[in-house]
Amino acid sequence: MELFALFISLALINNVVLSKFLAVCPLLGVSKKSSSALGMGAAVTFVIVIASMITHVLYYQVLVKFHIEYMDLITFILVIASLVQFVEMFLKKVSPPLYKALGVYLPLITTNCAVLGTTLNNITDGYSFIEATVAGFAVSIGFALVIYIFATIRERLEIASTPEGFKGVPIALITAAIMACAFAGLAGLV
Amino acid sequence: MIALVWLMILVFLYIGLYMWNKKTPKPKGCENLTADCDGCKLVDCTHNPVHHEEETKND
Repeated sequence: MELFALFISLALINNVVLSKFLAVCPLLGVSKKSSSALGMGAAVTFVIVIASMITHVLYYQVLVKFHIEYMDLITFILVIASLVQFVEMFLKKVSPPLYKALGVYLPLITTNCAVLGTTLNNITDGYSFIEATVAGFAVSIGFALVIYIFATIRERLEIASTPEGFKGVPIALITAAIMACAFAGLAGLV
Repeated sequence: MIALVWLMILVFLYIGLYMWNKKTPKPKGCENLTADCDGCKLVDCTHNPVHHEEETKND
């Protein structure tokens, strides 16, 4: 039940994009088409879940054991960058169809601050391994949900009669603000 | 000292995986895949379309 509450809390209430303002860059950059948004969401889910597990193990089994906890930021940055390279290479070799669907978004994830933010939050919030994995999955599902909804709204805005000064990024940011208000209404759900 | 060794391990791990990934050929039909990122205002990001415009001009 606690894990379910953690999932709902991180996916909907404390959403990584609309509440913590992480990963705003891909939200604006890869949300013009709903298909691209879905691909980006899937790739982010894949990487965040694996990164959450690996960084949790490395922090407690290496950094804590050798008393170099202050190296967490640089460790996580390099681990995430290495992980993205490994996943890309693995998909190229093992699953070309999956590479075709997700591979193009993987390099974008190296610079996605949601991945680093999630791994650091897992440590500062003192999550266990299972909780960190669930948290990673919840955060990425929250990101995928928001970017997909945002992309579908932007597709409709493209054909809507928007005032000239609001076309493009301005109306997208106003949409994001309204979405943040809507998601804030879910507070108190769990 | 341990921190320095740990940092070197991570850096070499990244370089190794980067080179391995670069050397792995892309599957058939995926040679010219490009991310359709329209870009935000971060022009220092290599995926920003500004860089692609510069590459086209140089060509």
